[in-house]
Amino acid sequence: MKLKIAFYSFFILLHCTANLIEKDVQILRTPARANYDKQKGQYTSCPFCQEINDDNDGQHYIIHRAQSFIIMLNLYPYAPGHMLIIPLRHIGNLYDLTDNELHELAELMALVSKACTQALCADACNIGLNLGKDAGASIPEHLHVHVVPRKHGDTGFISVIGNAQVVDPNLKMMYSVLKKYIEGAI
Amino acid sequence: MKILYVPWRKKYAQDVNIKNECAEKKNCPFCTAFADNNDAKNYIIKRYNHNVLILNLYPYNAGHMMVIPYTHTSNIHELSPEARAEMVEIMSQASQVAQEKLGAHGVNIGMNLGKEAGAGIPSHIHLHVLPRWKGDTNFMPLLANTKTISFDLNEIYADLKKYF
Repeated sequence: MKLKIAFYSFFILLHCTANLIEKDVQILRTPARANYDKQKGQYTSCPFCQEINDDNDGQHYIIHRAQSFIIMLNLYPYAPGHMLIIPLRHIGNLYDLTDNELHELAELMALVSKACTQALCADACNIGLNLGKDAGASIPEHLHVHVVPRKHGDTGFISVIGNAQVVDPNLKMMYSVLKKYIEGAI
Repeated sequence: MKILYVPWRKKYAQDVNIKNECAEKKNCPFCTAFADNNDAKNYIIKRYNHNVLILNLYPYNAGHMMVIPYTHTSNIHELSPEARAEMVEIMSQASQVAQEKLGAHGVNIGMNLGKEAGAGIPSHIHLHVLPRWKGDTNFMPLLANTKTISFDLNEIYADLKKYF
């Protein structure tokens, strides 16, 4: 117990100090990811491959299957409508993708960024890849491109000071809106 | 949250002129650098058909590169399919160089599309390729207010030019 308290105090201290040093950092609070963080690293096999190989796209929130990639909702979103573009092949490096796959990825990135603004009415979006554990990837063995819709003020006072985030937790709604848009656009 | 501390970006952050006046092409720092014919001065590593690979002058970390299309646009979907395809190809190549030549342990790749997503120059899209090393957010930057960074912009520019 004491050890636990010491651990948490250290963490809080670290956190406060970090905030003091760099006041410009905006914090996008993601309390819904607490469950995910607990089970992190406990996979026995690749969760993406399981979802890709299963034929229940609705249950896994797979929005679209392209030739070499799927677009799915992140079940533990940083923000509502957080999508992932994942290659069907289980590879960890960008340069393992063939030229054809890279070209398809370029088109899907454009499509999905458009879906953020047009289907979800987002003001902006972040697209990002963490390659390797040291870059922050929690499933580094299987590439995945994050697409995070952003709204003006989503790191505003409610989330930064009020310790709360205004999120519509309805994954099903996000799923149907995005599916409709993406299927219509292709 | 891990914090990658980048004090040398202060100059950039304070330069409100860059950030506010770049909506027009003539004030865009990227368009200006591309129109200039002094690639070494602008740290342009390589010019491709539709894109330019350039070093970030205000890097988050050593070897921070950016892939930037010639087209002055704020959306990826406004690029031609050829320009987009080339952009993603260069991104893949740059991640490989970062890992295999610079010895990075990981790489972050990202685009902030729009001001609300944190883009400093939202009117001209740019894709960041950021090499990462174990411990680059360790106790030194977090607690000692010091970020160790073992590179010189000119040296790494010369080094990277060889690999592209």
